[in-house]
Amino acid sequence: MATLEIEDLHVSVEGKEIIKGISLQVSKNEVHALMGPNGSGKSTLSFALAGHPKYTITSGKVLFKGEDLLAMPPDERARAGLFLAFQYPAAVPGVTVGNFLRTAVNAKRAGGKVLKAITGKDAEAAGKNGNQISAREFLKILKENMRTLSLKEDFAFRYLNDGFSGGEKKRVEILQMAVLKPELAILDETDSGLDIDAMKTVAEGVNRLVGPSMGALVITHYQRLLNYIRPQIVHVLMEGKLVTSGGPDFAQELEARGYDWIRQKFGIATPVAAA
Amino acid sequence: MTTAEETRMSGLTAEGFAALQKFRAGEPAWLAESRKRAWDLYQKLPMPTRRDEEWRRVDLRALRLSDIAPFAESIGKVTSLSALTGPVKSRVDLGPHAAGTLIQHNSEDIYESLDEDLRKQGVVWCGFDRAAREHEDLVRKYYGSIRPATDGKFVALHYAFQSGGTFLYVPAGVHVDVPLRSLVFADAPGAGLFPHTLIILERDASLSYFEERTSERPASGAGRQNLVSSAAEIHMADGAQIRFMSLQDFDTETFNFTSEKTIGRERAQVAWLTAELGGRLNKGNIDCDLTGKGGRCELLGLYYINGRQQSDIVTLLTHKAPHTEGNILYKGVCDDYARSGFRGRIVVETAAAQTQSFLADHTMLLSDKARSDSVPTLEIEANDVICKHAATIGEISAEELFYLKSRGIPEVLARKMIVLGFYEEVLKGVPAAALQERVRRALQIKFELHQEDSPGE
Ligand SMILES: Nc1ncnc2c1ncn2[C@@H]1O[C@H](COP(=O)(O)OP(=O)(O)OP(=O)(O)O)[C@@H](O)[C@H]1O
Ligand SMILES: [Mg+2]
Repeated sequence: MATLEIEDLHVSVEGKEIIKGISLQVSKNEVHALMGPNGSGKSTLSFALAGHPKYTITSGKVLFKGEDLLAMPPDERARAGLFLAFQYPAAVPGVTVGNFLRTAVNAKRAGGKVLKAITGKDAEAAGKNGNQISAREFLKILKENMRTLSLKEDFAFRYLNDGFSGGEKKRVEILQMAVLKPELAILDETDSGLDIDAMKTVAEGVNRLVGPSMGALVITHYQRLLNYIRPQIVHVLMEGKLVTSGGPDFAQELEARGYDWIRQKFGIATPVAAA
Repeated sequence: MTTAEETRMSGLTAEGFAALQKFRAGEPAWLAESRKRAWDLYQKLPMPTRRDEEWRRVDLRALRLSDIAPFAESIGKVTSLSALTGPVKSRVDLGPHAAGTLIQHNSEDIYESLDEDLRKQGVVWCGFDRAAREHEDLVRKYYGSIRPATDGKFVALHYAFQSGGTFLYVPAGVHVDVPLRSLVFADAPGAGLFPHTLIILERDASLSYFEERTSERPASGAGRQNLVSSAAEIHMADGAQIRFMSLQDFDTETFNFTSEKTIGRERAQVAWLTAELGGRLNKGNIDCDLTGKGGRCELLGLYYINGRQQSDIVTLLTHKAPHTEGNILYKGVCDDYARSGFRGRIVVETAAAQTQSFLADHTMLLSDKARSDSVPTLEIEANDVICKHAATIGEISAEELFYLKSRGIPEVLARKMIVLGFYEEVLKGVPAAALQERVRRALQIKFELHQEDSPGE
């Protein structure tokens, strides 16, 4: 049984069908790449899997570790071990990276039960109480992870994504992944906006985690990232369907030849905007 | 009947005023006269109605003045904090470390302490009623000078029934860096409270001050209304600095009227934060005049109201001298049927060239039945000034909420984080971590209690 099993999934946004029947299986130890033209539905698929309320599943099935993923609210999906690195992460002013991530770790430890108090003395007490992680203990873990991602320590005390550069946001997404240790990570264009060094750092961050305890679905437009994170398989998504796939070097071919030949081969109409 | 009982039995009426006069017999003549003048004025002034612009959003029809006693007795003086028990004690424990503490229970001071070093340096810090007797010259000179009874119906009511409050005098060049703390705690049902805060900072003096007002009434008092009408007057000489922070958390049967004003002279620096959480109605008037060159004023505020609470805040910052800087920033959250109004005004007078001043207020509505409205005004009479305003009303951002949930944080916790995070910009404006933390805790507790009342979405 694969960790993530998607079966004939259809997704609509505002009444319009965007994902038109996708089946895909991703297991731990595996990296799948997902490529495809702008607007083909890559982010829609990610949001639908993460449980964004705007995206309606009209039919199909998704199992996560054998359980019905679609029946879970978004926070439960995350606690079960699903992680989405957003293409455009939201800024949350007033909530620091450190406090946010520690709350997320403790929410997972508490199994989604709402425990009181997230600041001050009570937060310290929470550390001594049961399996909640204390501020001090957590800060140590956070700082170690920040160091490996070349993020300055002050990021722990900055407001989440508030005023972060594009590249900083992407690195903080990977930081969250490293701290939360998911079993399946979807990375939606985590490479876009990164300089060459940052891309390497981020790829190393992903590679450290992919293995017996994590699988990944990596969405990208460029083969460069896939030089660092080697996928076993590259899927092509067009017009809401997986039209074809190839081995690890397929990305190179796509980058060289574009998508038109695939459109012709599989009889997919050329979108007006791209003409 | 003793005079104390008489006052407790009467209302905010002619009879009640007479009872209070009798009860306060022996206070300095000038104070008794000021009381009498204020009472006469109060009777002449009409009760505000919704036709008055400043009272447009406030519902006073339910207020039953004749049911509210002018005075409520305390438990009596205590000589040490360890003598306190129950809710007062727990409020004391919640507070930051303080260099001096003043506790008022109902209408009377019950405890005062001040760091010995500060006392030696000439700092005076005591209950207002004692100050009126022992520091008569100073009190008489400043009392009612910048917030006169003529400022409005409820200000007149304050001066008529005044009892309790604090007096603070900081001599030239003396720094009070660890906060002085004033706690007003009310538990008498059906009571009126009229504390007066008078603060005088001499040249280059500095002060950190934390004021907390709260109540917890017995269940037997349910249905009784309470009223607080307080005034604060803060005088700042050249180069004086103040960090003033107040937290109001009265029960929801209390009508709370506050009227506060600061005058800052040359290079005076004012950092003022008010946090309003309680009250059935909270009507606040907060003004600051910068009358000397190089003065700065930061008026910060936050409120969080739910149920059927109402809040209406009017702030006025007046620049009267050149090279002054001002900033007004308010953030409020309304849930359930709560209603809020905010009227911020900045006036830059002709003399105040090269002035910079900003006005912003942001409101978050957590329910579709909550209402808020904001009236920002800038009046600029000088040249060469920078003056701007901004106002927003919004709700919790769905994208922020989804982002937090996508990391495993349950909805109620995610909402709490976003709401509390909303206030951070304001809290950060007061450079005293322990005071920030106290307000954060109060917000958190109120939010959590509300969650328990209405589980689920
Ligand atoms: N919330 C939304 N509201 C309206 N339309 C949407 C929404 N989300 C996606 N769409 C539409 O669905 C289609 C697929 O969008 P999606 O973001 O999934 O594409 P993508 O493959 O991720 O593209 P890109 O490579 O540019 O990131 C687009 O036509 C887009 O406009
Ligand atoms: Mg996308």
